[in-house]
Amino acid sequence: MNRTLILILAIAAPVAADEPVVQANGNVRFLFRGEFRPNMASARESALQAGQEKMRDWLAHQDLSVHRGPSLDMIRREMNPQEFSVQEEQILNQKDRMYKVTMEIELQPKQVRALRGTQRVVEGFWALSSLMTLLSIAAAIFFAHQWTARRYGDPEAQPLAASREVN
Amino acid sequence: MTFTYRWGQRPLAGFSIKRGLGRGGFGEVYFAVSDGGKEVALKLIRGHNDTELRGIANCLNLKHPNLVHLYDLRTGTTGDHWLVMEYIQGEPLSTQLLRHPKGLAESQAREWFLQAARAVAYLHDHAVVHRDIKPANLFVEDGAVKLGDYGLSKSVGHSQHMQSSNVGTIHYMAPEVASGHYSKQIDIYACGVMLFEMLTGDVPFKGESWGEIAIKHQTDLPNLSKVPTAYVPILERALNKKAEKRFANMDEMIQAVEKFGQPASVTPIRTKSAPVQEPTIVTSVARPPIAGKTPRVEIPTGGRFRELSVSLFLAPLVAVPITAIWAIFTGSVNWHVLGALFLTMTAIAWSAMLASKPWEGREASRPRRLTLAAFGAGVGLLAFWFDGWMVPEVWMRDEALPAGLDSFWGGILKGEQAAVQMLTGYLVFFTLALMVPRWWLSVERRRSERFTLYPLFATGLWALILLHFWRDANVAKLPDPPGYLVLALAGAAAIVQLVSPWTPAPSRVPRFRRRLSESVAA
Repeated sequence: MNRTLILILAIAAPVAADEPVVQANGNVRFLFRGEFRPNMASARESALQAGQEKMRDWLAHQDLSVHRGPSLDMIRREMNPQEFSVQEEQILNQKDRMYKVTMEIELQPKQVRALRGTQRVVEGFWALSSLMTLLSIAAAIFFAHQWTARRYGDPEAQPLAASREVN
Repeated sequence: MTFTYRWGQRPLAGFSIKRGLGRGGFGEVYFAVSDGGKEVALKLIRGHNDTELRGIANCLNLKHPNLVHLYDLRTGTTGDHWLVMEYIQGEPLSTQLLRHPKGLAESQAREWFLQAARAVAYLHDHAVVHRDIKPANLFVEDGAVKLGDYGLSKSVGHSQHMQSSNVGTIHYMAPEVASGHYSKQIDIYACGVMLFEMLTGDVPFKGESWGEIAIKHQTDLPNLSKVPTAYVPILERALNKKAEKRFANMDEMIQAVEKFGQPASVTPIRTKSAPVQEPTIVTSVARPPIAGKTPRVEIPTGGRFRELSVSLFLAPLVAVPITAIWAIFTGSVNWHVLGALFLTMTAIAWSAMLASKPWEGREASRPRRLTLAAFGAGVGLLAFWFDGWMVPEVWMRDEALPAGLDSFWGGILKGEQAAVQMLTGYLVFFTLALMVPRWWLSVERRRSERFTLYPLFATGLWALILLHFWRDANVAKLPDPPGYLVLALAGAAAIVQLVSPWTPAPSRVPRFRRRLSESVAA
């Protein structure tokens, strides 16, 4: 059995609050911790993933729920995540250290709106697809009617045939 | 002007071609000489079916001093049909009118009109509706007026009938022609237009496009202020929008015109001005079409619905490359913005088509605008929704307003102030964006060109103006309205043109080109 002792070398910051806090300017402040990872980059990535989950959960529980959470890329690019604290741990008998990062992000109302908008755009695409399907069915029926009318000589369908050439 | 046959050729046995005189949609006209030395005009008839050829044949034995005589209808060596006609030495009335831009002298106009009217009355007595009465089809020869091109007329009975083929030239076309139900009353209307033109030098209804003129025929009243007072009641009656309120027949109209005195002993206008040694016959084909002879294409409701379905289906497909071009141009990969642009553009294009198609070919500016405004409000709501704003709710007054929400619009809505202000902005923007531009011109089957840049610039500029005012009115420091709305409107203007069915409308030929063409023909 591999026994491992973990030595906490430092705690750089107080324990972050779990619940998001709505600021006076309308921004929502999130603090989130990642897992212990063998290097800082990986620890930051872990923190961001935790933050992504946390924001997704928070957005889903809003009054008008938003089911589309921010992507990691969006978090990095638009939300300017700041390192709040870093925990370093050292495993006995080993030289390597492990890191656990706590990050801070302020989610702005316009970003919430953008996420909500993206969700609605996706819904819009679904609605458009449905309408396009209906339209294609309608067009197919008309073409079938036109074809049969021309084949079997329905005089009422002649104007339809006549209009085909200019469409 | 290229003709099929040249000097000396004999496409019709017994006649030698001397020269081409003119050509039009139905064929070509040649000056020819028979083997016996008779000078005739030969009209090569193309694109007419047997029924129409029988109609021409029915006119062969009509005789009237004011009608161009038709001698024979024969089949040529290549199987083409040829109409052998009297060769007129003279020029068309349209050329005379060009020399009198303010109209003919009243006595001259009355005299020539009465001659033409008697020819039309004669045709009507023989159950023939001319359908294309206009100055270009009247020829002045030694002071006498002769009506031509009646060989392509339609024989009609006493009742009205349905017809959807070629029926006249737009400036002289009666309002009922657009509906397809017409009778000999369309000739009375055309005579009214012609009398108006002879008296004033101009037609009563003009416009930039075929559709605009057709609409004016259906709705506008002619401006009779330049017409001599005595003719006002005559023209009011002849140009009445309702066929049943016009003169019952041509004789009645002739009597009304004759009441203003005996035809003056006018000096015949000789055609000395024609600078040719060989006098010419000029038929309507010698004059390029002013606005074409093909009226509105009647599409039944089913066909219109099918066209609309196809257009609606194609619109998003065309919106894809426009969105892609914009994404490449701006380097944007923001899927929210790209998606909103695509969907808004599609919604605008659909709205324009849905609101315009039901009234296609008709004068219905007000209902169109109202419908477009309603659709615009819907698009505004949609764009607001895509922008991610919290949608305000209807406020039931008996419930308390939640914290952070206010009531708006006279207490109808409750919501966040920013959201309601943005909603108002979107609604106003899109309502005006769809209501003010004439979107239906891009949907019209009979638009002058399939695709032009003008609607793109017009809608884009209008969107920029609206956006400017919107941003100016944004005193609450709310987020600015997205700039892609301008592209959405301009893109929709492109989409609507590209996916709407189009039948080429004969273009209006500039006056200087008409003059040039006629002088060449003379």
